[in-house]
Amino acid sequence: MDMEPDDGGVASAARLPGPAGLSCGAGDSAEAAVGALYQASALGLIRLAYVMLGDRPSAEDVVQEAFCGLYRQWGRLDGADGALYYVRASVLNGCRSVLRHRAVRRRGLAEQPPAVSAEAVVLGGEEREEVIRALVELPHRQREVLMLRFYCDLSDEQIARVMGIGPSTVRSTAHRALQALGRTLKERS
Amino acid sequence: MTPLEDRVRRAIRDKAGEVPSDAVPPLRLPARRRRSFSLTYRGGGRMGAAARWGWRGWLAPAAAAVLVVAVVVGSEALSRALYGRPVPARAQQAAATVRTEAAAWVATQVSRAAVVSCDPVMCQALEKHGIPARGLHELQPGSPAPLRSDVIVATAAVRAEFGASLTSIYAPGVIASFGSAITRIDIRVIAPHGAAAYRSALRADLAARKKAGAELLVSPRISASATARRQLVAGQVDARLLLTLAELASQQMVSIVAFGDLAPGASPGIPLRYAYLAQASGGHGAGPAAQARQMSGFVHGLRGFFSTARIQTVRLAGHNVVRIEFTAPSVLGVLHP
Repeated sequence: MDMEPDDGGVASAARLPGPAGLSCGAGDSAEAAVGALYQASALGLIRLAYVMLGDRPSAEDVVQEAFCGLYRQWGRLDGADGALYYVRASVLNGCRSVLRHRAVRRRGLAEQPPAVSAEAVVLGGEEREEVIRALVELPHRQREVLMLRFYCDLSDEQIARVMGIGPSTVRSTAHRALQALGRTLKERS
Repeated sequence: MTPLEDRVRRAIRDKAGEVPSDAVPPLRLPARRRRSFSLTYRGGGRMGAAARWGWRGWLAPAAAAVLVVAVVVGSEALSRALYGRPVPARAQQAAATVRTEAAAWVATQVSRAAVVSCDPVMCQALEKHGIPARGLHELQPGSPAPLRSDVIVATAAVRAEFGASLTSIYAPGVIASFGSAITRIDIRVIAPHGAAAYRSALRADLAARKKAGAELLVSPRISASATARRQLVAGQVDARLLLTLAELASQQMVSIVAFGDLAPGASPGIPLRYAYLAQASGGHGAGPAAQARQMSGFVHGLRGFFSTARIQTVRLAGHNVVRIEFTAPSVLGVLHP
Protein backbone atom coordinates (compact mmCIF):
# COMPACT_ATOMS: atom_id res chain seq x y z
CA MET A 1 0.00 0.00 0.00
CA ASP A 2 1.43 3.32 -1.04
CA MET A 3 1.39 6.02 1.54
CA GLU A 4 2.11 9.70 1.25
CA PRO A 5 5.09 10.66 3.33
CA ASP A 6 3.85 12.52 6.38
CA ASP A 7 6.95 13.21 8.36
CA GLY A 8 6.40 16.93 8.82
CA GLY A 9 9.62 17.67 7.02
CA VAL A 10 12.07 15.36 8.76
CA ALA A 11 12.91 13.52 5.57
CA SER A 12 12.47 16.44 3.22
CA ALA A 13 14.70 18.71 5.32
CA ALA A 14 17.52 16.25 4.63
CA ARG A 15 16.96 16.59 0.90
CA LEU A 16 16.88 20.38 0.92
CA PRO A 17 19.91 21.94 -0.69
CA GLY A 18 21.47 23.71 2.31
CA PRO A 19 20.20 27.28 2.31
CA ALA A 20 22.83 29.97 2.58
CA GLY A 21 22.19 30.36 6.27
CA LEU A 22 22.65 26.69 6.82
CA SER A 23 26.36 26.64 6.14
CA CYS A 24 28.03 25.71 9.39
CA GLY A 25 30.55 27.98 11.02
CA ALA A 26 28.62 31.00 9.84
CA GLY A 27 29.38 32.83 13.07
CA ASP A 28 26.55 35.27 13.88
CA SER A 29 24.27 33.70 11.29
CA ALA A 30 24.19 30.49 13.36
CA GLU A 31 21.00 31.61 15.07
CA ALA A 32 19.29 32.24 11.73
CA ALA A 33 20.56 28.96 10.32
CA VAL A 34 19.42 26.91 13.32
CA GLY A 35 16.11 28.78 13.16
CA ALA A 36 15.71 27.87 9.49
CA LEU A 37 16.45 24.23 10.18
CA TYR A 38 13.99 24.34 13.07
CA GLN A 39 11.29 25.75 10.78
CA ALA A 40 11.94 23.02 8.25
CA SER A 41 12.14 20.02 10.54
CA ALA A 42 10.74 20.77 14.02
CA LEU A 43 7.22 19.50 13.33
CA GLY A 44 8.48 16.17 12.01
CA LEU A 45 10.88 15.77 14.92
CA ILE A 46 8.19 16.65 17.47
CA ARG A 47 5.95 14.03 15.88
CA LEU A 48 8.79 11.51 15.93
CA ALA A 49 9.38 12.18 19.64
CA TYR A 50 5.63 12.16 20.31
CA VAL A 51 5.22 8.65 18.91
CA MET A 52 8.12 7.47 21.05
CA LEU A 53 7.13 9.27 24.26
CA GLY A 54 3.36 9.46 23.99
CA ASP A 55 3.00 13.03 25.22
CA ARG A 56 3.45 16.36 23.52
CA PRO A 57 5.07 18.48 26.24
CA SER A 58 7.94 15.97 26.62
CA ALA A 59 8.28 15.67 22.84
CA GLU A 60 8.51 19.45 22.45
CA ASP A 61 11.03 19.69 25.29
CA VAL A 62 13.23 17.01 23.73
CA VAL A 63 13.22 18.76 20.34
CA GLN A 64 13.87 22.15 21.91
CA GLU A 65 16.84 20.70 23.81
CA ALA A 66 18.16 19.09 20.65
CA PHE A 67 18.16 22.42 18.80
CA CYS A 68 19.79 24.19 21.75
CA GLY A 69 22.52 21.53 21.61
CA LEU A 70 22.83 22.02 17.86
CA TYR A 71 23.24 25.76 18.36
CA ARG A 72 26.02 25.21 20.89
CA GLN A 73 27.81 22.76 18.59
CA TRP A 74 27.21 24.74 15.41
CA GLY A 75 30.84 25.50 14.62
CA ARG A 76 31.87 21.84 14.82
CA LEU A 77 29.37 20.39 12.33
CA ASP A 78 29.97 19.72 8.66
CA GLY A 79 27.20 21.47 6.74
CA ALA A 80 23.40 21.40 6.85
CA ASP A 81 23.38 17.67 6.30
CA GLY A 82 25.56 17.13 9.36
CA ALA A 83 23.31 19.44 11.38
CA LEU A 84 20.22 17.42 10.56
CA TYR A 85 21.94 14.15 11.45
CA TYR A 86 23.11 15.72 14.69
CA VAL A 87 19.66 16.98 15.65
CA ARG A 88 17.97 13.67 14.78
CA ALA A 89 20.47 11.78 16.91
CA SER A 90 19.92 14.28 19.73
CA VAL A 91 16.16 13.78 19.58
CA LEU A 92 16.59 10.00 19.77
CA ASN A 93 18.99 10.35 22.71
CA GLY A 94 16.63 12.77 24.41
CA CYS A 95 13.71 10.36 24.02
CA ARG A 96 15.84 7.52 25.37
CA SER A 97 16.75 9.60 28.39
CA VAL A 98 13.09 10.55 29.07
CA LEU A 99 11.99 6.91 28.75
CA ARG A 100 14.77 5.76 31.08
CA HIS A 101 13.77 8.37 33.63
CA ARG A 102 10.12 7.29 33.37
CA ALA A 103 11.06 3.64 33.79
CA VAL A 104 12.83 4.48 37.04
CA ARG A 105 9.80 6.41 38.25
CA ARG A 106 7.48 3.58 37.23
CA ARG A 107 9.58 1.10 39.21
CA GLY A 108 8.96 3.36 42.18
CA LEU A 109 5.24 3.07 41.47
CA ALA A 110 5.31 -0.73 41.56
CA GLU A 111 5.75 -1.28 37.80
CA GLN A 112 2.57 0.52 36.85
CA PRO A 113 2.18 0.98 33.11
CA PRO A 114 1.27 4.46 31.86
CA ALA A 115 -2.47 5.09 31.97
CA VAL A 116 -4.18 4.98 28.58
CA SER A 117 -7.50 6.77 28.62
CA ALA A 118 -10.57 5.21 27.14
CA GLU A 119 -11.13 8.19 24.91
CA ALA A 120 -7.67 7.81 23.37
CA VAL A 121 -8.17 4.11 22.76
CA VAL A 122 -11.67 4.38 21.31
CA LEU A 123 -11.10 7.49 19.23
CA GLY A 124 -7.56 6.61 18.19
CA GLY A 125 -8.37 3.11 17.02
CA GLU A 126 -7.67 0.01 19.05
CA GLU A 127 -5.48 -1.55 16.37
CA ARG A 128 -3.20 1.44 15.98
CA GLU A 129 -2.80 1.76 19.73
CA GLU A 130 -1.88 -1.94 19.94
CA VAL A 131 0.89 -1.44 17.36
CA ILE A 132 2.19 1.68 19.11
CA ARG A 133 2.09 -0.07 22.49
CA ALA A 134 4.06 -2.99 21.07
CA LEU A 135 6.51 -0.58 19.43
CA VAL A 136 7.09 1.29 22.68
CA GLU A 137 7.85 -2.00 24.44
CA LEU A 138 10.70 -2.82 22.04
CA PRO A 139 14.30 -2.21 23.15
CA HIS A 140 15.48 1.34 22.44
CA ARG A 141 17.64 0.52 19.43
CA GLN A 142 15.00 -1.60 17.71
CA ARG A 143 12.33 1.04 18.25
CA GLU A 144 14.56 3.80 16.90
CA VAL A 145 15.48 1.84 13.78
CA LEU A 146 11.80 1.26 12.99
CA MET A 147 10.92 4.89 13.62
CA LEU A 148 13.69 6.16 11.34
CA ARG A 149 12.80 3.66 8.65
CA PHE A 150 9.01 3.94 8.68
CA TYR A 151 8.50 7.51 9.81
CA CYS A 152 11.52 9.37 8.45
CA ASP A 153 11.88 7.13 5.38
CA LEU A 154 15.64 6.96 5.85
CA SER A 155 17.77 4.39 4.06
CA ASP A 156 19.75 1.86 6.09
CA GLU A 157 22.91 3.88 5.47
CA GLN A 158 21.29 7.09 6.72
CA ILE A 159 19.89 5.30 9.79
CA ALA A 160 23.36 3.92 10.45
CA ARG A 161 24.80 7.44 10.35
CA VAL A 162 22.16 8.85 12.73
CA MET A 163 22.57 6.01 15.20
CA GLY A 164 26.30 5.58 14.90
CA ILE A 165 26.12 1.89 13.97
CA GLY A 166 26.85 -0.10 10.79
CA PRO A 167 24.30 -0.56 7.97
CA SER A 168 24.33 -4.33 8.47
CA THR A 169 23.51 -3.82 12.16
CA VAL A 170 20.60 -1.60 11.08
CA ARG A 171 19.26 -4.36 8.83
CA SER A 172 19.57 -7.08 11.46
CA THR A 173 18.09 -4.83 14.16
CA ALA A 174 15.11 -3.96 11.95
CA HIS A 175 14.59 -7.64 11.16
CA ARG A 176 14.63 -8.58 14.85
CA ALA A 177 12.37 -5.65 15.72
CA LEU A 178 9.75 -6.65 13.16
CA GLN A 179 9.89 -10.26 14.31
CA ALA A 180 9.37 -9.22 17.93
CA LEU A 181 6.60 -6.82 16.96
CA GLY A 182 4.83 -9.49 14.90
CA ARG A 183 5.04 -11.95 17.80
CA THR A 184 3.66 -9.44 20.30
CA LEU A 185 0.78 -8.41 18.06
CA LYS A 186 -0.09 -12.04 17.36
CA GLU A 187 -0.12 -12.87 21.06
CA ARG A 188 -2.44 -9.98 21.80
CA SER A 189 -4.87 -10.50 18.97
CA MET B 1 6.67 -3.93 1.93
CA THR B 2 5.15 -6.77 4.00
CA PRO B 3 1.66 -6.40 5.55
CA LEU B 4 3.27 -6.08 8.99
CA GLU B 5 5.60 -3.32 7.80
CA ASP B 6 2.66 -1.57 6.21
CA ARG B 7 0.68 -1.84 9.44
CA VAL B 8 3.56 -0.48 11.52
CA ARG B 9 4.16 2.37 9.09
CA ARG B 10 0.47 3.32 9.07
CA ALA B 11 0.18 3.16 12.86
CA ILE B 12 3.27 5.33 13.34
CA ARG B 13 2.10 7.94 10.83
CA ASP B 14 -1.46 8.01 12.21
CA LYS B 15 -0.14 8.45 15.71
CA ALA B 16 2.28 11.17 14.58
CA GLY B 17 -0.65 12.93 12.89
CA GLU B 18 -2.15 13.56 16.34
CA VAL B 19 0.32 16.43 16.62
CA PRO B 20 -1.29 19.21 14.59
CA SER B 21 0.90 21.06 12.12
CA ASP B 22 0.51 24.34 14.03
CA ALA B 23 1.83 22.77 17.22
CA VAL B 24 5.43 23.85 16.85
CA PRO B 25 6.39 26.20 19.70
CA PRO B 26 8.83 29.03 18.95
CA LEU B 27 12.50 28.10 19.18
CA ARG B 28 14.27 29.52 22.21
CA LEU B 29 18.02 29.40 21.85
CA PRO B 30 20.44 29.87 24.72
CA ALA B 31 22.88 32.78 24.75
CA ARG B 32 25.84 31.85 22.59
CA ARG B 33 28.97 30.95 24.58
CA ARG B 34 31.73 33.49 24.20
CA ARG B 35 35.47 32.95 24.67
CA SER B 36 35.95 32.70 28.41
CA PHE B 37 38.63 34.31 30.52
CA SER B 38 40.74 32.03 32.62
CA LEU B 39 40.29 32.85 36.29
CA THR B 40 42.86 30.36 37.49
CA TYR B 41 46.18 31.36 38.96
CA ARG B 42 48.74 30.75 36.29
CA GLY B 43 51.72 29.80 38.43
CA GLY B 44 54.83 31.65 39.53
CA GLY B 45 56.50 31.56 36.14
CA ARG B 46 53.85 33.79 34.67
CA MET B 47 53.70 36.33 37.42
CA GLY B 48 56.31 38.40 35.69
CA ALA B 49 54.25 38.44 32.53
CA ALA B 50 51.15 39.49 34.48
CA ALA B 51 53.09 42.29 36.06
CA ARG B 52 54.29 43.46 32.63
CA TRP B 53 50.67 43.64 31.50
CA GLY B 54 49.90 46.00 34.42
CA TRP B 55 46.16 46.86 34.57
CA ARG B 56 45.37 44.01 32.22
CA GLY B 57 46.09 41.64 35.08
CA TRP B 58 42.78 42.81 36.54
CA LEU B 59 40.87 42.03 33.37
CA ALA B 60 39.79 38.52 34.31
CA PRO B 61 38.50 39.36 37.84
CA ALA B 62 36.76 42.47 36.46
CA ALA B 63 35.11 40.44 33.73
CA ALA B 64 33.97 37.90 36.33
CA ALA B 65 32.44 40.67 38.42
CA VAL B 66 30.63 42.09 35.38
CA LEU B 67 29.37 38.59 34.60
CA VAL B 68 27.97 38.15 38.11
CA VAL B 69 26.20 41.53 37.91
CA ALA B 70 24.82 40.61 34.49
CA VAL B 71 23.46 37.30 35.80
CA VAL B 72 21.78 39.01 38.76
CA VAL B 73 20.27 41.75 36.58
CA GLY B 74 19.25 39.16 33.98
CA SER B 75 17.49 37.00 36.58
CA GLU B 76 15.68 40.05 37.86
CA ALA B 77 14.59 40.94 34.33
CA LEU B 78 13.42 37.39 33.71
CA SER B 79 11.49 37.40 36.94
CA ARG B 80 9.84 40.70 35.94
CA ALA B 81 9.04 39.25 32.55
CA LEU B 82 7.31 36.30 34.15
CA TYR B 83 5.29 38.56 36.42
CA GLY B 84 3.68 40.68 33.82
CA ARG B 85 6.04 42.58 31.52
CA PRO B 86 4.25 43.06 28.21
CA VAL B 87 4.95 40.13 25.88
CA PRO B 88 4.39 40.00 22.12
CA ALA B 89 0.71 39.94 21.11
CA ARG B 90 0.92 36.50 19.48
CA ALA B 91 2.52 34.89 22.54
CA GLN B 92 -0.01 36.66 24.73
CA GLN B 93 -2.85 35.27 22.66
CA ALA B 94 -1.41 31.74 22.80
CA ALA B 95 -1.01 32.04 26.57
CA ALA B 96 -4.60 33.30 26.91
CA THR B 97 -5.93 30.37 24.87
CA VAL B 98 -4.09 27.85 27.03
CA ARG B 99 -5.23 29.66 30.18
CA THR B 100 -8.87 29.49 29.07
CA GLU B 101 -8.50 25.80 28.24
CA ALA B 102 -6.96 25.06 31.64
CA ALA B 103 -9.56 27.16 33.49
CA ALA B 104 -12.40 25.38 31.71
CA TRP B 105 -10.91 22.02 32.63
CA VAL B 106 -10.51 22.97 36.29
CA ALA B 107 -14.05 24.37 36.39
CA THR B 108 -15.57 21.13 35.09
CA GLN B 109 -13.19 18.49 36.45
CA VAL B 110 -11.94 19.65 39.83
CA SER B 111 -14.10 19.20 42.89
CA ARG B 112 -15.83 22.35 44.11
CA ALA B 113 -14.79 21.34 47.61
CA ALA B 114 -11.12 21.61 46.63
CA VAL B 115 -9.09 24.78 47.24
CA VAL B 116 -7.15 25.79 44.13
CA SER B 117 -3.92 27.82 44.30
CA CYS B 118 -3.22 30.04 41.32
CA ASP B 119 -1.43 33.21 40.26
CA PRO B 120 -3.60 36.36 40.08
CA VAL B 121 -4.21 36.16 36.30
CA MET B 122 -5.13 32.48 36.46
CA CYS B 123 -7.37 33.05 39.49
CA GLN B 124 -9.27 35.68 37.48
CA ALA B 125 -9.73 33.22 34.63
CA LEU B 126 -10.98 30.57 37.05
CA GLU B 127 -13.47 32.99 38.56
CA LYS B 128 -14.72 33.81 35.07
CA HIS B 129 -15.37 30.10 34.60
CA GLY B 130 -17.59 30.02 37.65
CA ILE B 131 -15.24 28.96 40.43
CA PRO B 132 -16.16 30.95 43.54
CA ALA B 133 -13.42 33.13 45.05
CA ARG B 134 -13.63 31.25 48.34
CA GLY B 135 -12.33 28.16 46.54
CA LEU B 136 -9.28 30.01 45.25
CA HIS B 137 -6.00 30.80 46.96
CA GLU B 138 -4.24 33.62 45.14
CA LEU B 139 -0.44 33.31 45.10
CA GLN B 140 1.79 36.38 45.20
CA PRO B 141 5.56 36.65 44.77
CA GLY B 142 7.04 35.46 48.07
CA SER B 143 3.93 33.48 49.06
CA PRO B 144 4.64 30.52 51.33
CA ALA B 145 4.21 27.01 49.93
CA PRO B 146 0.48 26.48 49.25
CA LEU B 147 0.24 23.31 51.34
CA ARG B 148 -3.27 24.10 52.57
CA SER B 149 -4.65 23.92 49.05
CA ASP B 150 -5.67 20.73 47.27
CA VAL B 151 -4.64 21.66 43.75
CA ILE B 152 -2.21 24.17 42.26
CA VAL B 153 -2.41 25.58 38.75
CA ALA B 154 1.27 25.74 37.78
CA THR B 155 1.70 28.49 35.22
CA ALA B 156 5.13 29.79 34.19
CA ALA B 157 4.90 32.43 36.94
CA VAL B 158 4.14 29.82 39.60
CA ARG B 159 6.93 27.55 38.34
CA ALA B 160 9.35 30.47 38.50
CA GLU B 161 8.23 31.32 42.02
CA PHE B 162 8.58 27.84 43.53
CA GLY B 163 11.26 26.41 41.23
CA ALA B 164 12.11 22.73 41.35
CA SER B 165 10.57 22.32 44.81
CA LEU B 166 7.13 22.58 43.22
CA THR B 167 7.56 19.20 41.52
CA SER B 168 9.97 17.59 43.94
CA ILE B 169 8.29 18.54 47.22
CA TYR B 170 4.94 20.33 47.11
CA ALA B 171 3.06 18.94 44.14
CA PRO B 172 4.67 15.94 42.40
CA GLY B 173 1.56 14.66 40.59
CA VAL B 174 0.19 16.23 37.39
CA ILE B 175 -3.53 15.59 36.90
CA ALA B 176 -3.75 17.50 33.61
CA SER B 177 -1.47 19.59 31.43
CA PHE B 178 -2.16 22.16 28.71
CA GLY B 179 -0.01 24.06 26.22
CA SER B 180 3.72 23.73 25.90
CA ALA B 181 7.01 25.43 26.72
CA ILE B 182 6.49 28.84 28.39
CA THR B 183 2.69 28.71 27.93
CA ARG B 184 2.43 25.27 29.57
CA ILE B 185 0.01 25.05 32.47
CA ASP B 186 0.07 21.98 34.70
CA ILE B 187 -2.74 21.20 37.09
CA ARG B 188 -0.97 19.58 40.02
CA VAL B 189 -2.25 17.89 43.12
CA ILE B 190 -0.75 19.23 46.35
CA ALA B 191 1.07 16.74 48.57
CA PRO B 192 0.56 18.28 52.04
CA HIS B 193 2.95 15.82 53.70
CA GLY B 194 5.61 15.99 50.99
CA ALA B 195 6.40 14.10 47.83
CA ALA B 196 7.68 10.95 49.54
CA ALA B 197 4.49 10.55 51.57
CA TYR B 198 2.40 11.24 48.46
CA ARG B 199 4.23 8.61 46.40
CA SER B 200 3.96 6.11 49.21
CA ALA B 201 0.19 6.74 49.46
CA LEU B 202 -0.11 6.45 45.67
CA ARG B 203 1.73 3.10 45.73
CA ALA B 204 -0.50 1.75 48.49
CA ASP B 205 -3.60 3.00 46.67
CA LEU B 206 -2.41 1.42 43.44
CA ALA B 207 -1.94 -1.97 45.11
CA ALA B 208 -5.44 -1.74 46.60
CA ARG B 209 -6.93 -0.67 43.24
CA LYS B 210 -5.30 -3.59 41.45
CA LYS B 211 -6.72 -6.03 43.98
CA ALA B 212 -10.19 -4.48 43.90
CA GLY B 213 -10.14 -4.30 40.09
CA ALA B 214 -9.29 -8.00 39.80
CA GLU B 215 -12.04 -8.84 42.28
CA LEU B 216 -14.61 -6.90 40.26
CA LEU B 217 -13.78 -8.94 37.17
CA VAL B 218 -14.61 -12.15 39.01
CA SER B 219 -18.20 -10.99 39.55
CA PRO B 220 -20.66 -12.73 37.20
CA ARG B 221 -22.72 -9.51 37.13
CA ILE B 222 -19.92 -7.48 35.59
CA SER B 223 -18.69 -7.75 32.02
CA ALA B 224 -15.87 -5.63 30.61
CA SER B 225 -14.19 -4.98 27.27
CA ALA B 226 -10.57 -6.06 26.78
CA THR B 227 -9.41 -2.47 27.32
CA ALA B 228 -11.46 -2.10 30.50
CA ARG B 229 -10.20 -5.43 31.85
CA ARG B 230 -6.61 -4.34 31.26
CA GLN B 231 -7.25 -1.03 33.01
CA LEU B 232 -8.88 -2.74 36.00
CA VAL B 233 -6.14 -5.32 36.43
CA ALA B 234 -3.43 -2.65 36.10
CA GLY B 235 -5.02 -0.65 38.91
CA GLN B 236 -5.64 2.37 36.68
CA VAL B 237 -9.20 2.95 37.88
CA ASP B 238 -10.16 5.42 40.61
CA ALA B 239 -11.10 3.72 43.88
CA ARG B 240 -14.41 5.62 44.10
CA LEU B 241 -15.41 4.21 40.71
CA LEU B 242 -14.49 0.68 41.74
CA LEU B 243 -16.70 0.91 44.82
CA THR B 244 -19.53 2.46 42.80
CA LEU B 245 -19.37 -0.31 40.21
CA ALA B 246 -19.41 -2.94 42.96
CA GLU B 247 -22.51 -1.33 44.47
CA LEU B 248 -24.22 -1.11 41.08
CA ALA B 249 -23.41 -4.76 40.35
CA SER B 250 -25.25 -5.73 43.49
CA GLN B 251 -28.37 -4.26 41.86
CA GLN B 252 -28.04 -4.99 38.15
CA MET B 253 -25.80 -6.28 35.36
CA VAL B 254 -22.97 -3.87 34.59
CA SER B 255 -21.22 -3.81 31.21
CA ILE B 256 -18.05 -1.68 31.19
CA VAL B 257 -16.94 -0.31 27.83
CA ALA B 258 -13.85 1.52 29.06
CA PHE B 259 -12.41 3.90 31.62
CA GLY B 260 -11.12 7.38 30.97
CA ASP B 261 -10.66 10.80 32.48
CA LEU B 262 -10.42 13.43 29.74
CA ALA B 263 -7.23 14.69 31.38
CA PRO B 264 -4.47 15.47 28.88
CA GLY B 265 -0.91 15.00 30.11
CA ALA B 266 -1.66 13.35 33.46
CA SER B 267 1.24 11.64 35.27
CA PRO B 268 1.46 7.85 35.27
CA GLY B 269 -0.34 6.55 38.34
CA ILE B 270 -3.08 9.19 38.36
CA PRO B 271 -6.30 7.09 38.39
CA LEU B 272 -8.93 7.23 35.65
CA ARG B 273 -12.08 8.85 37.00
CA TYR B 274 -14.63 8.02 34.28
CA ALA B 275 -16.40 4.76 33.56
CA TYR B 276 -18.37 4.23 30.35
CA LEU B 277 -21.10 1.63 30.69
CA ALA B 278 -23.11 0.03 27.93
CA GLN B 279 -26.61 -1.29 28.38
CA ALA B 280 -25.98 -4.74 29.84
CA SER B 281 -27.69 -7.74 28.37
CA GLY B 282 -30.01 -9.18 30.97
CA GLY B 283 -30.66 -5.72 32.36
CA HIS B 284 -34.01 -4.08 32.83
CA GLY B 285 -34.42 -3.38 29.12
CA ALA B 286 -34.26 0.39 29.66
CA GLY B 287 -32.27 2.65 27.32
CA PRO B 288 -29.05 4.40 28.43
CA ALA B 289 -30.90 7.58 29.48
CA ALA B 290 -33.31 5.70 31.71
CA GLN B 291 -30.43 3.60 33.03
CA ALA B 292 -28.48 6.76 33.85
CA ARG B 293 -31.44 8.15 35.83
CA GLN B 294 -31.95 4.90 37.63
CA MET B 295 -28.24 4.52 38.48
CA SER B 296 -28.02 8.13 39.57
CA GLY B 297 -30.90 7.68 41.99
CA PHE B 298 -29.37 4.54 43.44
CA VAL B 299 -25.78 5.80 43.70
CA HIS B 300 -26.69 9.16 45.22
CA GLY B 301 -28.84 7.34 47.73
CA LEU B 302 -25.71 5.65 49.06
CA ARG B 303 -24.49 9.02 50.39
CA GLY B 304 -20.87 9.72 51.40
CA PHE B 305 -18.55 10.24 48.42
CA PHE B 306 -21.05 8.36 46.24
CA SER B 307 -23.25 11.44 46.22
CA THR B 308 -20.53 13.35 44.32
CA ALA B 309 -20.75 11.00 41.33
CA ARG B 310 -22.04 12.53 38.09
CA ILE B 311 -23.98 10.10 35.98
CA GLN B 312 -25.17 11.00 32.49
CA THR B 313 -25.62 9.72 28.97
CA VAL B 314 -22.90 10.59 26.47
CA ARG B 315 -21.91 9.55 22.95
CA LEU B 316 -18.76 7.44 22.70
CA ALA B 317 -17.60 6.24 19.28
CA GLY B 318 -21.12 6.65 17.88
CA HIS B 319 -22.94 4.87 20.71
CA ASN B 320 -25.00 6.16 23.59
CA VAL B 321 -23.38 5.06 26.82
CA VAL B 322 -23.76 5.91 30.47
CA ARG B 323 -20.82 7.80 31.95
CA ILE B 324 -20.11 7.74 35.66
CA GLU B 325 -17.55 10.30 36.71
CA PHE B 326 -15.92 11.58 39.83
CA THR B 327 -14.15 14.89 40.16
CA ALA B 328 -10.39 15.41 40.50
CA PRO B 329 -8.22 15.02 42.41
CA SER B 330 -8.68 11.34 43.17
CA VAL B 331 -8.91 10.52 46.84
CA LEU B 332 -6.15 8.16 47.93
CA GLY B 333 -6.76 5.57 50.61
CA VAL B 334 -10.49 5.05 50.00
CA LEU B 335 -10.00 1.28 49.70
CA HIS B 336 -7.77 0.97 52.77
CA PRO B 337 -8.86 3.68 55.20
